[in-house]
Amino acid sequence: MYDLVIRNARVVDGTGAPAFAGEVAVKDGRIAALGPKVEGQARAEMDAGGKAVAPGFIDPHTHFDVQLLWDGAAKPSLEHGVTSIIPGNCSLSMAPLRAGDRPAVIGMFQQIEELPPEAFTLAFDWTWEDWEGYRRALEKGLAINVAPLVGHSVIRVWVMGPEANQRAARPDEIAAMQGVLRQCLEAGAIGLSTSFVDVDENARPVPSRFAQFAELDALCAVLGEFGRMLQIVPEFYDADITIARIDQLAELSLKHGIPTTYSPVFDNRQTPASVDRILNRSAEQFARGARVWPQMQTRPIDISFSLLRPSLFFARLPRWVRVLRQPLEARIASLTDPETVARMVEDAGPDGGERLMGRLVVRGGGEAPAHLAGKTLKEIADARGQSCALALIEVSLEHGLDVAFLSANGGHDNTDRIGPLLARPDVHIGAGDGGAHLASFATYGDTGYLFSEFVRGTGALTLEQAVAKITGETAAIWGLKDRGLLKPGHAADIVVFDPDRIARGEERPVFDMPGDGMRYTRDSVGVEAVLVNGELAWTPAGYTDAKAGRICEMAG
Amino acid sequence: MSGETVSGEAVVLGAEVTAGHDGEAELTLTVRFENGVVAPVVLDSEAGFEALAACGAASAAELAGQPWRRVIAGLAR
Amino acid sequence: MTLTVQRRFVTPEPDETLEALAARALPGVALDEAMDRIRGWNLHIFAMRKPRGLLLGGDVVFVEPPLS
Repeated sequence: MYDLVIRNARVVDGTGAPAFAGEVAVKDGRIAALGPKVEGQARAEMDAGGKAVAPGFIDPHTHFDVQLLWDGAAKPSLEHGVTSIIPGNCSLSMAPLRAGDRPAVIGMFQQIEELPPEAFTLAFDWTWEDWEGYRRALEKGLAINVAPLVGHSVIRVWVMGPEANQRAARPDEIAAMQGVLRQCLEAGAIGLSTSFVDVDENARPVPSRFAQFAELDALCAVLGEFGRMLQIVPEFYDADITIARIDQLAELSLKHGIPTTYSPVFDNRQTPASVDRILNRSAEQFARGARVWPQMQTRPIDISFSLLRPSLFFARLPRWVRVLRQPLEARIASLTDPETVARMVEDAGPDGGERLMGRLVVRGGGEAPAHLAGKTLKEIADARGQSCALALIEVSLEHGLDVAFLSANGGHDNTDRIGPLLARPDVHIGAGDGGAHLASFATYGDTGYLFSEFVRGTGALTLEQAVAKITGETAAIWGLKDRGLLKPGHAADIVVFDPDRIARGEERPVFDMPGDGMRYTRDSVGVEAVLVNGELAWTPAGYTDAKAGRICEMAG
Repeated sequence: MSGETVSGEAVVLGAEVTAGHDGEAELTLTVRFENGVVAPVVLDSEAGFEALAACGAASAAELAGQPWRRVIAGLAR
Repeated sequence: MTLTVQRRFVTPEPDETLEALAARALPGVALDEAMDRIRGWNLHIFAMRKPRGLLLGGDVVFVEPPLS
């Protein structure tokens, strides 16, 4: 007898094969059968109502390392249909980490994730130092599957202590790092991450950036023993540097027989040749036999700013530049000086800044009053009977300058161009950054956005292609065992969604971090049920009590 | 971006505001390098404002025509 | 499969200074000029880092201007 049969389903199995009307049976947490008709009894049945039934989505680039310790569902990832996540990216993980080294690593996490300090003091007990201990701490309450990377910076701190972000490692230290990495991989880490970009809370480069290439090569030799992934974050703002990193990754991939991936990759109108040059270089290296997977995000990039800090958003406007570069007190004085403000408004153009600023959206969070959140500056300006430029200044002043404005779709927003790139077989969809940048923007719902914009919108991908991209192909790229496909014997990670509706919700602030810390989030749209290892984990009614998430096993 | 095949001193041809991965506005300079190749150079917020200051530029548009050497002198020392 | 030609770069040696790197990467060029060129081709190191110009073991340091 099956535990569950999902009937009346549009089965999208994650291979890219055509969807079919059928049924999916689950037993003991695994797919037991699927086809047009599944014979046999079941303890429970679910009517999918003709909606898509697909493998749970896999998010290959997240920073949920800390959040998972109090929130085993990595909310809101699960409700978007994500059933497996890969944390530990960009050289940072929560293990191995000695008690005495915690402050240094907390600083790095706070810089990347923007978690409040209480997240590290109130929300969980530090019961571990090594990877095995962290794994045990994680496993206690998982509702989502986790395939964690171990961070190069953290391994460096473990071996080199405070000198990790000071100097190159000695040969004996590199050998020690190899040993630590080997232990982590044996205890469940699925690969190694490193960063060439990230900084700590003092803006100092993170430890991994102090490593010579020989150190990375030595660590990749260990990855080679296991056939595991190296993830890097390259200098993504520059195509030439990214190409140099691709070449380094290719060398490591070919030498050690490992897959590698770099993230993020995105397109900007101002640098139109960059993304093609980057992807073409990866293609050249693939043709040599190297595995160098570019991770491209689906969502556009929004510019966010407040007048608390100078933003180049105003770089076109000389008088704004002059005022915003002033120290805070002088800036406020200028912004309250009628003559200066008049000149700034004049600077914004004959339309009072409507063209440049009118579509800015006031974001919730910060000191912005709730009634303004979500409104455009044009709406606010009209209601106040002011120009957009003046409204921006005055609304900011009324709230201590702590009012965030969002300029939507500032980059990576040309869907006609990006769709075909996402569809390329040598492009890995990811780079979502879930769990990071909490106070800056929402990093959730990229999977919904994939379907709304690139399947229903531009049609660059079919439903089946899009599902395969974020399920079966992702599992294969990373080597996740028995995940990513609706296939007998595979884990019953399943998402039921409406292909005609699935999308990401509007961004909104919530105060659900420890210490009432704020983050931006997005609700899911069109997701109707999420099962993790055969257990119902989420429905539109909310999260269930199921804690069926596991640390993912690796193939081979 | 390929440029004319001239040699000489590198010069900034233009500057535009762009969106950085982290949601910050950045400045993308278009620079004609000494080998004649025209290529983008991205500056983060802090470097962008300093580049403006180094060149005495009141706005991004005023960076056009500035010798690259002058930008570097302002930023790199 | 032939790889297309890309911009040449070096990586810093342990504790290498800009002076030493410039001399190594651009032999035959006057040292001050070589250092200026390295700076002008590598703003990711000389403009967008604290402390500016700190050479890191993992750096890509271009030794020629962009090729395309």
